[in-house]
Amino acid sequence: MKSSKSLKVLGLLLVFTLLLGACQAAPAAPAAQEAAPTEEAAPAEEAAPAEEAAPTEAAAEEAAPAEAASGPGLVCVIVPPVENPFFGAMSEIAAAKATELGYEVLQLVHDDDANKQMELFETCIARAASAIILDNAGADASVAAVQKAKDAGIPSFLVDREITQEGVAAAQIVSNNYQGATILAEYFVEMMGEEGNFVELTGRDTDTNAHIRSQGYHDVLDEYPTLVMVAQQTANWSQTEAYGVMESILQANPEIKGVIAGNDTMALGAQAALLAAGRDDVIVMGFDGSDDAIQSIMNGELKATSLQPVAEMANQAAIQADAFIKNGSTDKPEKQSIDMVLLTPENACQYKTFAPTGSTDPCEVAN
Amino acid sequence: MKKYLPWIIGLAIVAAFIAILPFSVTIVPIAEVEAQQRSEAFDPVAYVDGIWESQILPIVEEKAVDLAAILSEIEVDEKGFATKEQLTAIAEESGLITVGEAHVYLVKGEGVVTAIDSESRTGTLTMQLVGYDGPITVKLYIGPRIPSDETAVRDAVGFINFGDFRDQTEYGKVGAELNKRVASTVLSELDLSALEGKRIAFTGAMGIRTFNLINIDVSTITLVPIQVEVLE
Repeated sequence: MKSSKSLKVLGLLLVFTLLLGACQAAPAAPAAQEAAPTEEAAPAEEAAPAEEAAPTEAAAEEAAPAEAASGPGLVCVIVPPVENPFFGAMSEIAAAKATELGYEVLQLVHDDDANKQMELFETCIARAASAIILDNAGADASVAAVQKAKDAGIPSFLVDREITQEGVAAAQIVSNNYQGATILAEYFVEMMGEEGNFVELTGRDTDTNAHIRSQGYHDVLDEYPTLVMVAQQTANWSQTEAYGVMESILQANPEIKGVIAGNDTMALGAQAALLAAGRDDVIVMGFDGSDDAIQSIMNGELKATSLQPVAEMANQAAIQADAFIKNGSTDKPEKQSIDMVLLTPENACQYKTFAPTGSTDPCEVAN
Repeated sequence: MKKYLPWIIGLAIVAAFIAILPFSVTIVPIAEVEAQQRSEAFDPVAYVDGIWESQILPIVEEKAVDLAAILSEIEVDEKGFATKEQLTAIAEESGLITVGEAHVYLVKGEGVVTAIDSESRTGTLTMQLVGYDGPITVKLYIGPRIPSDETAVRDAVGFINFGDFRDQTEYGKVGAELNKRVASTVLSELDLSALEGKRIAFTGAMGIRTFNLINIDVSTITLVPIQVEVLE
């Protein structure tokens, strides 16, 4: 709550600033010099918070007319943008499991915006949901929404990303990104022969997981003075952006041996740029274990990725929500850390849609 | 009057705000600030200092089980795989199973060192474990590094829980710091050049990850040592 209040105060401040700026501009000639920096600075800062603050209040009004709950319990499934197949799979699997367990399901997307997430929570509270399954929009920023649901008697089951407070969510089924990052980095070190130049592509700066993965990579890679990071750039999780970033890095640093990326889509973008430049010798690794990355590994392109336990987390969230609704407890600790699996040319073909296929046939890389 | 009070305060703040504006304003992403606060708040070295001698060493002494006996229970197929079911049964009896389905054990035993690989920075020695003649190759990390994804010490002692830490990075750093402690205490005292052919007594931690795996590769098991004594 604190943060949303301070946002409003900030929003008010900006409005004041603009008003004041407008007043000064016309009559006060002597003030012109002092006012100049104000006008320059204001628009840049204004853009972000003002836009975010506005929909919050509008949303509260929309959410107000409550719909009466009836029939089977409702489970809300709220995830980040589903353009990323990772979140799409998360939402679908959790929804399917909850439906199977006899619940009505409402699938929502918060677009990595904590304010929008709060609106969606308010919608779910207004509809008297039985439980909320959430892949959240920020470790600190999401605490308020989860607390609000708890205050309304609705338990939240967090998947993938954790929040920084305990005792608010009923369960936090966390994908151990740090472990996934270290296991990948150890393999990267091995493939690099413990030496050479490499590039790191990082994820969106506002996403906690971007930092956790980068931290995990560096806790391993920095132990090797013979491994030299010649460039570290964000490509914002995006494949096309990674393609462009890789192209320009390659021009400045042709002497690179490896690329370690914060997710699969960036790894695939970098791989495509490298192949277009005739560089099939560069070791490229991603993170997530998406089907596209698995396909690329089996085509002999990407060398590895860390598989996120999406299916397990999504299923567990629905199962634990059901247990909690029925018995008032999940019988598990609140914070549950789920391991990631290293996928390489040796085992990648045995996984699909973020889960094992059940096949144990050896994998063969196409040439 | 009360009604206007917020506006007066607001205007005062606005004035102050404008006064400081010409000075540089730095915008820092929230995630970066969070990451900074986190790393400042938590010191894994101090945490491990507080538990290494007082808790870790005594627990290992007290709870370590005979490695040869555990390995003898594992049925290994011709590819070096074991099934999750039977590994789970063994872990339930002699070790711990983490929430993330890693099987972890505190173990002890004796072995004769048959090979030393110190080419990689994550070096290992290979031993013939006394009391075991099955197909599993037994190795021991000898440093100078132990891989950071190897969290057997943290997980096997049983009292270091994910929920006790702010987030997974802190929890991960504890695992890595425990490995560093092994490297700086246990391993720094070993004379690696004189180890081959020697018989050693050891305690250590062993981890087998099983989550999302169908067949588990147990052809080689690598222990994190906690005590190593050269017998002859």
